[in-house]
Amino acid sequence: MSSPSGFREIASRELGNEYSRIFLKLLSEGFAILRSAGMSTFEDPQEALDRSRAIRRDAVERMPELLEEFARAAGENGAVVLWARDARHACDQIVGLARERGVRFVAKGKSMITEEIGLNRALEESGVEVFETDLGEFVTQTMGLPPFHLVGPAINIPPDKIGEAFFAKGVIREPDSDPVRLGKAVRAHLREKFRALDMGVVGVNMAIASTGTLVNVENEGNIRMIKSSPRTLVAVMSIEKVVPTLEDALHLLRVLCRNCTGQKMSGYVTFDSGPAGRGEKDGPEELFVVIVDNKRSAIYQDPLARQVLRCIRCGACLNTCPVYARIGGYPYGGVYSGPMGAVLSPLLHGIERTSDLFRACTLCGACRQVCPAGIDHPELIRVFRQREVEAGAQAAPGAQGAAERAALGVLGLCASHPAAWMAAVRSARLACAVLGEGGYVRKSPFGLSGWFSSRDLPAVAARTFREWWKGRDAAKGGRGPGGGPT
Amino acid sequence: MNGDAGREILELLRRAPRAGPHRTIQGRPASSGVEGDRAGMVLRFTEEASSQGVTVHRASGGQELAQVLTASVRAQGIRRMVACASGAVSALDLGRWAVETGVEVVDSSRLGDRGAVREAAFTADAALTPADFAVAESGTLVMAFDSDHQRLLSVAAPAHFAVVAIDDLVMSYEEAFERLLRRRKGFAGQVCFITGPSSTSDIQAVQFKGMHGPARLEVILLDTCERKPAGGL
Repeated sequence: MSSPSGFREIASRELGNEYSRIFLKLLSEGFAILRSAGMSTFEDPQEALDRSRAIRRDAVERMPELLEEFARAAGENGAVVLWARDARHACDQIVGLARERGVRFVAKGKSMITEEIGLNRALEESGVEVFETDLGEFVTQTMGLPPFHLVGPAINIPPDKIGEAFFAKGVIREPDSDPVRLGKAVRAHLREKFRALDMGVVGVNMAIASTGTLVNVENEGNIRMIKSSPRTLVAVMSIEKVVPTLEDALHLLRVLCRNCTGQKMSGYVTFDSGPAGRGEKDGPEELFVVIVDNKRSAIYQDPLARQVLRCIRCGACLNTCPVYARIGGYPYGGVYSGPMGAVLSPLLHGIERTSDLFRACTLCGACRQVCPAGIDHPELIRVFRQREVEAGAQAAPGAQGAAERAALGVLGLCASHPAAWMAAVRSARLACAVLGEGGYVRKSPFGLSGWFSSRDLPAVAARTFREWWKGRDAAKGGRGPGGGPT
Repeated sequence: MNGDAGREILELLRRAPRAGPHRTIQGRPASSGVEGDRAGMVLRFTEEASSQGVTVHRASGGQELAQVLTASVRAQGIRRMVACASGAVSALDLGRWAVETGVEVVDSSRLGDRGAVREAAFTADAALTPADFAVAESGTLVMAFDSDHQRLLSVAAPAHFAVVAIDDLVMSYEEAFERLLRRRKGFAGQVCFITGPSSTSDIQAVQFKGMHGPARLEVILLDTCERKPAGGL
């Protein structure tokens, strides 16, 4: 489990990472096209979006009842349901399952929740080797990197660097930098693991309450391998994965895939209702479903914050965010990045420890506009800021924000007295002439260096609008403001 | 011990203040605009599946099915195939086809245990399986696994041939599930959607087929009645 720290340092570094930036530019431009092409294949795209939002809202509001229903149905299907209060509790139980069965290694499907709870480390510390099997996740695991993007965790890594790491770890026999050959090498490497696999671990995209069914979405086939080959399967889900019915799940699938990759449907979607049926010769003989809380029931107490639990992890908000498009996923410090990280991480790790995440947002609202789960990220971010300021004011009344209050007092005076306003504009213009360069003010001698450390101020223009307008009238022979073009 | 954690978590959730009456979701979702007649569905399925890199064939009866398969295995140099002979594949005389083509065919019903299934699936050049349904809206196959139809065949083999009866071509996922539940009287184990071959774009967004699953997927829509072939098109 990691918490965000060093946001500014990493963001500054990443702004200078040309390779990441080339990719991010492609992502933010190309993705909008992919997504809208995908959504436009709905008969009524807005209805489809409204419906998915209503389903997620409903699912979160009824979460306790739905979870209970899911656990009962999954149990009736023959799955063993294990509950976990927190990361440690979840890891202990999964490690216990591996040790009881004496497995030497497990293969994993890409899963955010297992990253959140730090499962790989827990398994490795108890002597169980872990193979990530999603190609991107295999790369990040091999290179010891955090995920760069929710969907493509290693999509920014130059292939020659991947080749070097694979060569060093013996995945390939001679250095290579061809993306396809690198991928095929991983296929060959993991095929032997799948074939001899005794225990697999996957995440869960959706858990259907009415039928006790687990749904997984993927393109590579690694999750299908993990759900087919070993005799023991462990599916790990956080409590918010539950949806009411199969019909709801099918609609969410349509919306999820279109928002995630622009596909109508991902390559493989598997629906598991219990372990393998009678007489089946492959598929799991035993299926464990680990339902992880890890602070979500606490988040649930707050009716406003609760909406973060609607997230279906499609990644649309990352791909549309102008801040993510410049800094990528690393500054967010850990598992969740982009707007969904900026609203979820503060609730998981504490507002006071994650200030940079929700401060580094322009409140432009692009994420809210695309979100198929109906999350209002800008409103949450605004509330986090408010709560942080209020907490600070309580901790040190008077001291915090004294300069800000003084500045607001001056602003109030100017705004209510036109003469004062004009005088202020004139002096600001003078200050800009001295301090500005290239149309921006980047530093200030007035003790405001904190503000300028991460912002530039556009310089005040040489003339005000009114001055420009007057000059324009004079040039055109005194035609009044009412005299538009004829 | 574990039941306690479950009770605690649910108790905490129940204690939380709830919003007012949540919006009810009414009616069925708008489907993705698929023509309801068979010709329209065949066209749509073929377009959608092709756009995902699937080769779609049509065959009328077992003989044409054999011809389609023969052409494909020859073109791809397939020598060893694992086959699940149930469902729509049963239209094919598998033994005779194997002799005629010289392809070594492992009948999956003879595989005794997990080890044997693994051995057959991981060493075959191709798998031949039935699919329970084909869904036109996205060119998707729906397969329910059971004692006759093993999961590993269609994911571990490098090429997958799926045969689906034309009567099992439906418009939407909802319809496929409704008919599947009726046919199987509920489902246990796994149901799988397959839309195109295995693929990835995880390194530098370069896409290629055949990451962990098959690099090739061929679907044969099978007319089982005596109707003239391609009459529906």
